[in-house]
Amino acid sequence: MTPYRGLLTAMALAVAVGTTNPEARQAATAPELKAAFLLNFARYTTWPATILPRGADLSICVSGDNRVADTLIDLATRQQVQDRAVTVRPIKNDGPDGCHLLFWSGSQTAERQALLQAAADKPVLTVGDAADFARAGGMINFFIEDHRMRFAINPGAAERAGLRVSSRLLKLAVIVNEVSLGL
Amino acid sequence: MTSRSQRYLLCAALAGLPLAGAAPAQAQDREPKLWQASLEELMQVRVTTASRRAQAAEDVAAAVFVITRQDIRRSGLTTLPELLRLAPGVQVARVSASKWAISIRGASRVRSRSLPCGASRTPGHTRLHAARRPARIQTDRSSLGHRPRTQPARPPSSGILGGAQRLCRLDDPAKRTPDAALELLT
Repeated sequence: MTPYRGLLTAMALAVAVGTTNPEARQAATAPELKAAFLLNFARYTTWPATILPRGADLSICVSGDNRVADTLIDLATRQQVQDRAVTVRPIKNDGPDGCHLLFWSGSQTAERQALLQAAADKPVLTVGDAADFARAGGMINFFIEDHRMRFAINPGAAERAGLRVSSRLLKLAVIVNEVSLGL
Repeated sequence: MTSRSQRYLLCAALAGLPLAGAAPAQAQDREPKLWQASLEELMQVRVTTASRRAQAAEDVAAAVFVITRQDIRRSGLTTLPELLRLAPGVQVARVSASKWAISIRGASRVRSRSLPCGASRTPGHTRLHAARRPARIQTDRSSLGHRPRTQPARPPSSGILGGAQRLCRLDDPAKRTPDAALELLT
């Protein structure tokens, strides 16, 4: 029996060591976090098959914050999203054409509204970091609460654009709606 | 006997394998792995400033300039606004016989809001605190015998301190410090 007891001990030890959870990272800068969140948003969003066929690259466009773009490029080399390679393109006053996900940093209301109107009925997941972005017709915006990054989703805007946002994303988000705010 | 020792060897090997495999994995875990974090984990991560660690506003890096007691004595100056001129980057303008306009980094006005500062009440007390309203420094109340140690701070160019701070009142009638010294965070 003794060897078996030894074997059991060894197995218990193996299980204990093997299941030790990696420590979650405690702190990061806002651009790093935004980039990581953007990849997760892409992961939990479904685009129409005509727009994003199987195996096609996912195109993320970033306007306004080079640090987010740089981090995204770095992250995209390490992982895929929905088994797709991710391409990151910084844009400047370009239209949303060719983008599957568009991140808009800053407010710049006039330009932003022009872009949101251009993207309105196109299947582009629009994400911003201004607090009013989702209410102003965008789909997702970041906000910081208690030193943590949070996000708000406007499911109506996503639905109109033909995007399906996973319930996992909606569950963690603050839901906003232009209609209920009378906008 | 042989078979038993073989079993022991097997146990030892089984015990050793996961340990050997886990060691490098755990070393990696200490490194940033933002790209592997789930949404829930990301929502627990603390947002930090560019210095890449969470810190209090008073600890944010700022240039420091100290006007010592000897400097004050040698200068022969008798009022605090004039003494502030000794520090680089501090703009001091006399508006009238009793009013001064002081600011750090930029043009000064009487009601300048660009100079955050805290007057420390005890030696060694360095905490920054914002005054509630802009100061108009009165020359008759700002003679050095009445001054506590004073620490204006010029925020780093990135403006981490933000706009909440105000030009503070430099007088503290309750405290008389015979060995006045100025400590300027510029």
